[in-house]
Amino acid sequence: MLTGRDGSSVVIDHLCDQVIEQDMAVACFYYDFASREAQSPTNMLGSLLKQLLSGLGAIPVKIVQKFRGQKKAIGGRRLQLPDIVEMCAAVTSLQRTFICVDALDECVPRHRLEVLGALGQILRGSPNTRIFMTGRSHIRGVVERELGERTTSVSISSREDEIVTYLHARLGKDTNPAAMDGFLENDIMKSIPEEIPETYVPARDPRNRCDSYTDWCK
Amino acid sequence: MSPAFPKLTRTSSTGPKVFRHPTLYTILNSKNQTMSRAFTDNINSFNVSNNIIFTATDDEPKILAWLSPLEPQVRHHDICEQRVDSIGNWLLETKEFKGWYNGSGNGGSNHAALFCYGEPGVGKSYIWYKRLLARNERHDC
Repeated sequence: MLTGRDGSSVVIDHLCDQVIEQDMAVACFYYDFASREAQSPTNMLGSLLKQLLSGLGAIPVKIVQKFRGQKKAIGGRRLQLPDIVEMCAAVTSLQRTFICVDALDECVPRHRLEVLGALGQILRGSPNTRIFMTGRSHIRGVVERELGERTTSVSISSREDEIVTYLHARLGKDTNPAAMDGFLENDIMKSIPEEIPETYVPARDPRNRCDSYTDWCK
Repeated sequence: MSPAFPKLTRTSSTGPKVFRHPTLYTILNSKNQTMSRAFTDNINSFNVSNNIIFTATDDEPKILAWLSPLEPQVRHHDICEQRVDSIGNWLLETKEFKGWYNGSGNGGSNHAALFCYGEPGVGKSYIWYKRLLARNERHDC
């Protein structure tokens, strides 16, 4: 079974493998509903810039100057978004660059517009940059609107063989296997592949942080 | 498909995947530790601002931390540990992914963005959900 998050990690791992052989850079970002306030556009784009600069081993003088000067103003302030975007566009032009952004739907809507606008700016300034994104289908319209004709959209859905593989793997890792019986396991293996949910939202459910299904039943 | 970029060389065969840009490296190792000019001419063809200047600085760790407190690579490692092997590899074989990866037209800028969309899958919380339903049904009997 493939979720957007799995898809992102598969793609990022694949790209990281290519980095060894090719001249390219990879930066990634995972949105998380629980951290949405901390994941502001400045922090998100700053994180991408940080990853790209880490690979280069040098810092733009403009950033160094801003860093040293910022302490004089109101006890320190962050690099502003336009500066971050400008630097991202410059750094991504140095080499073939892949940027991966997972779960854009979990980003605050007003932040999403800013981030997509910034990513569009980076693409315009750096034609050899590639951006991979995942998200729920309801944000497809805004993604295509903000990034325009450069965007290709593709639907990802669960494949039956992957669902079975996934269920076997997850059930095998249940931290309380004694609470699982044959009846329930058979029910899970039979009913879940038949009921791919359209409305259930596990990504936003805090219970999905638990590793033992049985713990939650207590 | 892409214009030629300057060759990057890996700084070490072991440890993190750190690569160094040859133009940067050359200039950073010159007597003047600050780059005094733009990158090479072939970089200019990528519409890069030709007056961006890079420098090596001991403040680099502090500056990188200042750029953002977030560490998404940690999240990536967590997700990879949870992921089931082989699931999702088919995505890499789709024509949409290959078209995005390789690029086409306009110097490779067509299909520069790939958006994969879908509804949430049947993850572990859904199994929990089914289990809870099963337990409640038993209690109802």
